[in-house]
Amino acid sequence: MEILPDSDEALMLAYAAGDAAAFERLYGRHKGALFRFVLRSLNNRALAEELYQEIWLKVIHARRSYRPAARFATWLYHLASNRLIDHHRQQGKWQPLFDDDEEAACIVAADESAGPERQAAAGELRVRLLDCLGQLPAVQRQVFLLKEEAELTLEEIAINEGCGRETIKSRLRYALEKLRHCMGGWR
Amino acid sequence: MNDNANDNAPSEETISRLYRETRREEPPLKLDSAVLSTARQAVAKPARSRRWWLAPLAATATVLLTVTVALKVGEEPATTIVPAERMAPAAVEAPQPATQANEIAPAAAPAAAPKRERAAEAQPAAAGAAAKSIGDMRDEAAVVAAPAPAPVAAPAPEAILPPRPRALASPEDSAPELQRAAPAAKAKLAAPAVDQSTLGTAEMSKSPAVWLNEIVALRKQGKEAQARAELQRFRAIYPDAPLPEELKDWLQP
Repeated sequence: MEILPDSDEALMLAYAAGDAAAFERLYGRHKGALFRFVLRSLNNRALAEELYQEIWLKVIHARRSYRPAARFATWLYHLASNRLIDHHRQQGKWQPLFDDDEEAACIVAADESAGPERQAAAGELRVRLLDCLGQLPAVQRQVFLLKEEAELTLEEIAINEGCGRETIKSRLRYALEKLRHCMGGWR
Repeated sequence: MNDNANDNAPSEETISRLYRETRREEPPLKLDSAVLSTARQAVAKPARSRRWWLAPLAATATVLLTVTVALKVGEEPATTIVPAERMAPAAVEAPQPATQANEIAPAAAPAAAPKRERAAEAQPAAAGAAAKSIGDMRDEAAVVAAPAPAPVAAPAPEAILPPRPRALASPEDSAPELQRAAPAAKAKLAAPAVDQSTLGTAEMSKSPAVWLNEIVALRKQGKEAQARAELQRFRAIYPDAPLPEELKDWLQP
């Protein structure tokens, strides 16, 4: 794999060599997406914060063993997915997306460029989308989040999940169908 | 899924766009600080442990030192019994008095023989190499008490270990005085009064009886000065050991 200057992979290698500033840049690039991925996979903010920190600690501790065989994001979300799977296995249950509607409403920020009515309508749509996302089976939600948050390709998600590309494609299709159905029924 | 719901359902592209509009949630600042602080500390550790090589170096040095000491200690017994190596070839040239000692030494110095045997077994080749170079009479007599290496070192075994009947058949060689002295010397060996620190390597490898026998032999050969010197050394180490009649006159004031 070709390592471009200033790429995620180059920054991770630089960090492994002792460059703390490289990690800060890398962290800045991925912190939001990873946090949302964990938060929306777990539906529990306190737990999400705990696991989010653990995932970054794994990245830090594994810095010397990191090899840029694939994109850094693929590796990062592989660590995150494994941690979430461990958690789900320990819990043996699935929790609702948000603790309450008020918290969900805070997460979805309003589009400031739109008028008040459109802002309200768009906000409601986003809240509804996140609510519907929380109702998806875990494997379908994970595939959807890896595509939308981590922006991984189907091939990368397949590697991440340890499945074939067609399996991932099927899971994603089912996930989108269920979301469409959920949001269409809400209207 | 009813048709009305599907008609109102957003497309997949709309869902994707709607979701991306929600991507504004960020981790709290306290989490950012904690993660970044940990990351900095992790890479700062190697700077503090630049002397990482000290531990393996110290361990290697310790192992080397231990092995060296162990080898030195292991070599120590072989070094102290080198005279036994010298004794084996000397036996090739052993004169008749050595045969007499052969009859006395097993009774007088039973403890010394195994030690010399071990030494001779350890270095049989060296004993052969030095065969003709050493003619020390004291060593000659001592070697007879340690027969094990002799066949290896000597080309003519009968010269090293003369047949027992011959030794007993000679009245001169039988030396009844020495045979009488043997029990006393044996008792002396068992006594702790002897200062072992004053003993040389050659003296430690022979019994008092054998030594006295050598001195008598020297005197009979006319080597008076050498015999007297040997007797003085013997007296210094065994002041109370009884002397044979042939030597007692030397001690008269």
